[in-house]
Amino acid sequence: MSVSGTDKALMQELLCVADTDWVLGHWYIKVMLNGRSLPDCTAFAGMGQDSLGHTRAIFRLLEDRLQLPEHQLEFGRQPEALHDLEALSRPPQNWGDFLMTAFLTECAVWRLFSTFLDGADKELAGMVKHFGKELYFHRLGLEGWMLAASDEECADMKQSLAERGAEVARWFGAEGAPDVLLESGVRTTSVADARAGFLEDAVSVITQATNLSEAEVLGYLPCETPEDWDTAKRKTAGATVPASLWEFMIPTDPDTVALRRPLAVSVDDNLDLVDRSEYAHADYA
Amino acid sequence: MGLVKQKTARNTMDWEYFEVFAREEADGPLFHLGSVSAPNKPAAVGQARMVYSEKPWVEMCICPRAEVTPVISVNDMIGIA
Repeated sequence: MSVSGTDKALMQELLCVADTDWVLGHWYIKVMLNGRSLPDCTAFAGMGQDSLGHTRAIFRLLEDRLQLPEHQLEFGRQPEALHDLEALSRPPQNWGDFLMTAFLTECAVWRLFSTFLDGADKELAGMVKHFGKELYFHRLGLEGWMLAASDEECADMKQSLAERGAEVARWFGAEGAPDVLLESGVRTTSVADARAGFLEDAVSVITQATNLSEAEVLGYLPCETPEDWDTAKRKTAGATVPASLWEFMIPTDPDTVALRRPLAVSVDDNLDLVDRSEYAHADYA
Repeated sequence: MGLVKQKTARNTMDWEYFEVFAREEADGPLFHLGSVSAPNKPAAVGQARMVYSEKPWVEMCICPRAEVTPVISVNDMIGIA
């Protein structure tokens, strides 16, 4: 099976969204018990469930189109092959850091994914529409918590913005980069417009939640990519998910693997999914 | 990945309660699903959508409990005292 340039670009782009949602979903699961009330904990559980559900739906779509075996993208990849957003690779340091990073990530994921909303790929467009209805409430819930932050949490949010803002903002890549998906009509909104929308969303909430001005917020969200930028994965070349986070996502510990059952597949069940030559055409790494 | 360890104590008693209602069918009745407590309306909307997502509701809304006007109440003898 040969994969066209457009299909390849679409796969890379969808993996950026899916892998980022995958990691973010695990953030929500980890942070869930830090909710401030039972409905709050339940809300984080729901957000984690949504994020992992979106991830798996995109994985199934790609596996179907690329004729990969089911679960290949979840269980058949090594962490180096992930297209996740780099800012999520370090664990949240405090409540303010968590809120700021999760909010920026949610805004970025939605803005990039929504470029396919009116595109020629109707199956994907329907998925975007469905996901968008759910992701709106993720952003709203996080926004509510940011607006209710204490002075101490507000200071933590500003520090988080200073430390991680640039990593999220550069996810949209360099300005003026060629885009075969836009040229082919698979996406109808350019990545530059998506980035502008992301900045608009971020500035709107962060200026209300902190005492930062619009110019100050934008200063923390520059459109600059490093020299070793991997355009396909939208992150620095060689950046990988930390081992501890990867173990949480794809556990290898026997007790944890047993707890995941009766999930249809696990790393132990399907070791032959990994790195088989007949799947080389996908070249998802 | 570590847990978020630093947590500022908050007085959750100050939070507002919101009652959550939803409709399963466009021409069906509006059900009272329960309530959420949140520091503000955006957080309450987010919580309500996440907590009460067990059915594909066609409509969901929240209302601050303080805005609910009692007609018959277990707590008050309305019209007498």
